[in-house]
Amino acid sequence: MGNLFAKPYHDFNISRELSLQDFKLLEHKEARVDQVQVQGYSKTKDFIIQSSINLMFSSNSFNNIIKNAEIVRKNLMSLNCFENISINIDVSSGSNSTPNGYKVIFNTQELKCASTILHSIARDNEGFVKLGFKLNNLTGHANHFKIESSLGNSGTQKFDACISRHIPGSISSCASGHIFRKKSYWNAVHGVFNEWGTLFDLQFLASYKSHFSQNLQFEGVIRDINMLSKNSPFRLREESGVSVKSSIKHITTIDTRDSKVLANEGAFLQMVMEVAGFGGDVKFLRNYFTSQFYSKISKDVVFQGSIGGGFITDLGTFKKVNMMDRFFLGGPMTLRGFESRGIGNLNNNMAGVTSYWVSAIHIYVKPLFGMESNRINEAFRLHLFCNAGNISFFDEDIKTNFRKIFKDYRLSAGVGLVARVGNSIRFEFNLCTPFQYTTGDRIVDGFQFGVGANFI
Amino acid sequence: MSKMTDLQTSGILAKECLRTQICGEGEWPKNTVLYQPYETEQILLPDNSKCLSVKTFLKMADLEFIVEARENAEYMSPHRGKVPFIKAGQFLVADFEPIVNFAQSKGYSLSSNLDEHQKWDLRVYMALVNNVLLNAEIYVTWKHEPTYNDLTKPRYGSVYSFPLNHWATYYKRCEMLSHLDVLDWKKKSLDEVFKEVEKICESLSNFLGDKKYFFNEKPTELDALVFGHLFSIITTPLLNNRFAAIIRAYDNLVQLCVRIETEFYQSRFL
Repeated sequence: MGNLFAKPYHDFNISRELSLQDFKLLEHKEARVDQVQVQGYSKTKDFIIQSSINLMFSSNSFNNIIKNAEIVRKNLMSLNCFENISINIDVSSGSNSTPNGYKVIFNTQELKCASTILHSIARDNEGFVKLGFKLNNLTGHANHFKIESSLGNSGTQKFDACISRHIPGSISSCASGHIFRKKSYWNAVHGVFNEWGTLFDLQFLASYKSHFSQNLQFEGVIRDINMLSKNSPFRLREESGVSVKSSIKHITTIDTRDSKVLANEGAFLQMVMEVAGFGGDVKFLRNYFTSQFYSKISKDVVFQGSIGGGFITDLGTFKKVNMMDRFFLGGPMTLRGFESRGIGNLNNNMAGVTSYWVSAIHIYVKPLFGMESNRINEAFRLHLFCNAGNISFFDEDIKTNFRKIFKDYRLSAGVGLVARVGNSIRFEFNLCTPFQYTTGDRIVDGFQFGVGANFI
Repeated sequence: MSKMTDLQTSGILAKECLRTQICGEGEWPKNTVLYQPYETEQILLPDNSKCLSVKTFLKMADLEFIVEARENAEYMSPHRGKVPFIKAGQFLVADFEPIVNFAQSKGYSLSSNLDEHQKWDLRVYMALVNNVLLNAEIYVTWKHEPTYNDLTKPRYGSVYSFPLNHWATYYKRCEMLSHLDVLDWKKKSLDEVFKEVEKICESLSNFLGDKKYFFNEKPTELDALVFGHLFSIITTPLLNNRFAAIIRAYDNLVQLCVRIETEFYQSRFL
């Protein structure tokens, strides 16, 4: 967070930490930024930093200066060029100073040119080890190059080379280009998916309250579905082979949660809209969203309500969307009490469905009830949950679609322990009971373990 | 160690028992479908030969089947890249020999009336055709640069959209070239390849002699296989007719093709 030091106007040469009263006094006092100094950088180009700190000069009260300084610090950090930035605010002195003038100093520490990547992530019920290296700030224009490969414990492999460039400003944006190769393995029935592709991503970050970001992506992928098992249903086998998807995707994310994994308050909403068919052979429109809402009932009890859903409309004539585009439902982090992608009949909708919805209600309780916040309370939660969701195939008629959505919906409930590792990995150990399911669903009645970053 | 091998063999035997139990003797599954690439736009010489061989075999054995063309037939195949394959009941079987074996396990065989010595001949000639004619076709299709550029590339890529037509063809070519490399065919020149073809045609021609089929009056698997390859080579338009001309030089082989053609297909003429 940096240190905040200041010198009151009347008190020369004595630097001391502000008391709360002094701070309150200063809060609404008229103020002006005379000077901004950024220290400690050598490689980063001046204009990159200049455009970030321009905001400082628009501040008109001391309070404003502090707020803006924090925003500028965040903006500078988002360039990914600095390891650490601290802020000093001082009254300005010298010939050019004005009576209400202040001087803001950012002490920066630049990242080393090359660094290695070694960490673990979890996604989609699979743990990954990421290995790679990163070249930071190649030419001083806040551009980075990264190569990483990740290996998952159930056979997923990903190789990704990425070049990215941050464009600072009042709305900071980041442009990046990826080349990737991915091999994923879900289970014996669905076979192996190979992907070779490129992804161009343009991200806009607006610091509205906390996080409001938008991504505009173009993705061109060659996909290859390979059935390994002779026991795979023939319907899946018919979809095997190579296809090209070229799509434009728009992602809107609003995230006001105080933690990504075990939040106490806030909301999260992510909407994805994808249109495929700019070249390539699959054409579709796909929309899906996830939302979470948290509310603190008492000091130790948190309520979470979530809902998500999506649908895909096939626009193609010659080649149909295949199972890599359609939706699957079920799993220890989404619809608990069912196996991963375990909802639906092996013969009818094993190759994915065109629409789904899923919802959840959680009540979290801190394990050490009534105690001050400590490590255990921060990393673990006991939870009661209730999940409901359904899959269906959409067709032309809206009325029947609406009925289909709620026909034979799946319901499950249970208790469990949620653990947080780092700031993004969530572990769940649940005891669940599916209450409502149909024949063909692969249910888990009892203990279920889940790990991942996305959850409902 | 020996116990280990015993265990393994017993495991294999058990599997085989299970297989025959499931397959069962007798009935040829109804609604058997043969999957192959599109004949007019997509299929290439080696695949065409194999498809024709399988179809001829099934017709000779009087087994019912319907043909379905799929652009991704080679990816759908249980043995990736091998076409044609048949879906018989719950079973997927790819390639000529496995299909012949599958039919045999159901009790349908064209060579059951042959004696031991003839059966050996049959196997030897079948292996020879597979090793020489098939590889020669692969060589011409994938290794011979002008053919690859003018015929193979547009045909193989015809079912794919833009980046994929180059990409898929490139990958398939690499695969095929490494196949030829393993068999020591990659280094051969076109003349050497055709010399090999001439040799096998000569020996097939001598073996056939004046007989109606290779083993006298009744057609066998060898007839189906030879017909599939020779007929495809004769009828497939290539850059020049050298390949076809080699075969046309052996009159009795051409006559065999005509005979099988009229007897089992009737509608088409050479």
